[in-house]
Amino acid sequence: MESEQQPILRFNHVSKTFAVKDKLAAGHTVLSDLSITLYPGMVVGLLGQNGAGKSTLMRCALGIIDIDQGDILTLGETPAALSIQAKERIGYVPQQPFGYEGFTIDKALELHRSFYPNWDMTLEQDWLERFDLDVTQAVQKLSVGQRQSLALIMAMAYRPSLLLLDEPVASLDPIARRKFMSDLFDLALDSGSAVLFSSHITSDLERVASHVALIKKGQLVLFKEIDALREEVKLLSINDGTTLPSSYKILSQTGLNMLVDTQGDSAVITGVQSAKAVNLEQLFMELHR
Amino acid sequence: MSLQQFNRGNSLWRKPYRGMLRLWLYDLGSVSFIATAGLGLVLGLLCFISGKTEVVSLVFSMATVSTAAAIAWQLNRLSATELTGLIPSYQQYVLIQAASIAAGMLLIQLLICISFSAYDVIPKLLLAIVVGLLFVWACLWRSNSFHLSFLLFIAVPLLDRLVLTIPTWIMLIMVAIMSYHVIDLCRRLRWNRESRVVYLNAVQMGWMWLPSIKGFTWITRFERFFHPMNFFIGPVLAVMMLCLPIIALGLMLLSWLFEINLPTLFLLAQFSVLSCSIVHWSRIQRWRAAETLFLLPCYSGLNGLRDAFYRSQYRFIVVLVMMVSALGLVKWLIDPQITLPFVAHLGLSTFWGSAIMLGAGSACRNSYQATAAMLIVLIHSILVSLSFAALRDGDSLTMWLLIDIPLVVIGILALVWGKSQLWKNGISAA
Amino acid sequence: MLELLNVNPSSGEPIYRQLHDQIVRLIVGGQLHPEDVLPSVRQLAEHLAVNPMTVSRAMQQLVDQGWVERRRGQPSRVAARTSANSASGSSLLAPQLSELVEQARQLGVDYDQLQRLLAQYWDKE
Repeated sequence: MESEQQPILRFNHVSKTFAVKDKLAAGHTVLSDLSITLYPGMVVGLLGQNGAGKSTLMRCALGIIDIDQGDILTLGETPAALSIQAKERIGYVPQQPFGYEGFTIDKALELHRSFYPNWDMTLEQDWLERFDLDVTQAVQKLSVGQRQSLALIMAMAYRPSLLLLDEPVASLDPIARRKFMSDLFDLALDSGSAVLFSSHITSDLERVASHVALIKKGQLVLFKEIDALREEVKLLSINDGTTLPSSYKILSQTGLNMLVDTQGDSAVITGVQSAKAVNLEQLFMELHR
Repeated sequence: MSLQQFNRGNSLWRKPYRGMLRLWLYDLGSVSFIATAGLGLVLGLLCFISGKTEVVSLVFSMATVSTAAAIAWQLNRLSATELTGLIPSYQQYVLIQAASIAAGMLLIQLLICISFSAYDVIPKLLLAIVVGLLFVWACLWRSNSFHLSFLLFIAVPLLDRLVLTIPTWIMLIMVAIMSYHVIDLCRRLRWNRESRVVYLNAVQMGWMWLPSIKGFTWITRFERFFHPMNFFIGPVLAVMMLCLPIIALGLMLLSWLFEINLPTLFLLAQFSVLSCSIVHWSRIQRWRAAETLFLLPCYSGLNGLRDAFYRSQYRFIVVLVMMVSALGLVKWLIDPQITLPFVAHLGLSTFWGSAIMLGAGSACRNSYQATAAMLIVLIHSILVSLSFAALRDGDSLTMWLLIDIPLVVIGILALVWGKSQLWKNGISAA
Repeated sequence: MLELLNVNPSSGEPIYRQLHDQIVRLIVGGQLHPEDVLPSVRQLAEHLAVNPMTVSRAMQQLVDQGWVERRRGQPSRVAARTSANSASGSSLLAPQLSELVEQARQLGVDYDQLQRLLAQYWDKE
């Protein structure tokens, strides 16, 4: 089903190194040979430590940062020269949103609205109420959470086909988060959008994501459908000397405990004392031991 | 005295000044004002050397007023940070530093004047001191007054004219009174929540407070007209564009009715070039918003954004020139002193002043460069005031028009050069 | 009916399977009767705060296995009991039972002790 559709966002062997001031020192590699493809309807949760490259990934896709190797196709175009039509279908909420300082919320929305066709006024009004934003307030006087809520409205009201969210719900309270998630689904499923969002809150990802991409030090360690992840990725404790089938992909190992991706091979292996299913938080911990 | 005693004595004297460099020169708010003040001093010196003594009081007044703003900023910072009240003698030291800077500034100005035997300039400086003290007092009294700092700079050319009408002894009395009030308030300095808001706002979003205007839906159309160059400055630009001509017309009416000579046209030209510098000041202060601007679907890629910025700057210049020329024509109708060649000169000078300012501003990447670029405002101000003086004296204006033409060319070139320099290191570079 | 459903996304077990199992239990246990109307996918997803695709998947499985009927233009309903979809409570208890037996063995509780414990706990209810 997926292969019939055009990918909305495609990273192909992307690498990016930030230069350091000292010309002789090696640069700091932020992304390393990363390949991910997003199709319509996918909600991909991006999981990784701070500095693992999640924000950089998104900014490369938008053309804010240039990549050193590989190529990216955002809505079928190169990020450095996104056409106006492409930009009208992209929504981005950075970790710390800026912009429209000096404006009041209603003026800022008025200006922002004028750039995008298909602006959903009901969504805007709904969300302004839900996030309890006073439209006469000056944007620069908003608290961090309010600023982020405004950024969410500004990014989603025109129903973009590609939605990039960098820790969008970190400042929202649990009720607001829940409501936001359900709106996210409406967007993804009704409009056939693809969503890439990074979050530390694994419990949110467990609910929301259809796929999970785990990034460690700029490398893609895991990219799986979330249900497949729950069924196929296991924490094994094995006896010394046991050989595992070649179909197993070993993700990490500490002593006699191994985190493996069984990749669908459900045969019972002798020598495996126990095989536990892991949730995202445990997965994250195991991979970062 | 033994070496030990000498050292201790020495350090006691120096103690209040510890960390002064860090405090005053590494803080964006104060360093920009101090740099402007320093610039003013240097320019004053240069003016004396080259013989143009008429503008010295203007330049020195600006230096004084800048110093006052820097001091007000630091005092505000004092009352904004809770810790300062807790650290022993911290407030006291900062106050001593501020007083030293103020005294030093005035002393240098005095010395320069004396060494050039320009004793008539000295009383003219008093008014600037009064205004400076007034500003500091206002900021101490209510932190929000700091937002009026830009008014200070606009007032400087006015001071020049006003000072001729106020007798020296009144000014001396005012200085004494204001100093008393200021010292009194300094003594009672306490932590103040308002100051904190002002400080944070200024630090995060740029020291210029740009007011948010409600109502007027057709302002949005105006804003789209100037987009994207007005993205960082906000709606205030469109409001300025609308209010300026109205205020200018009002002032012209007043001066015609009451036969007082208000330098409306001069102020208008000044303001135009100043607004160009504010455009880029806000762009630099609010650099974090650049990413949001970059992602708007109005242009393709960074080059598209640069192009759009360049073209919107041109639109702005055209509007400014038309406004100044139109108002110049109105003045020409009612005031026999204004001649048509002068109106043309005014229009041309507004063009090159704004163009060079916008071009240089586009190339600026940090606040130091932006402050240095403010020099253009000063040069424009000096040249225009000199041409006004020439008009008053009945001199021929051909020389001024001849100066204008190459400057217009430089302006056009500056804009093109600025376009290539804009965001040269990428949109996310600070 | 919504209050009876509750999933734990962080348990490591796929949500769709949890949901599927819970609905089957409700049907077998009698809290859901044949011809009962089930909430829509959207309602379920909103209540549980999960991806609607997950709920869809659970529903699809239920339909495939014959527990739930889909009718065009109408909400899904619990299907009538047929031989194909009848599972007894006993079969549903299998996983718990095997775990109980394993634990008992590990702790050294023998079969007779287990029986007595079971009787004790049954009488308590």
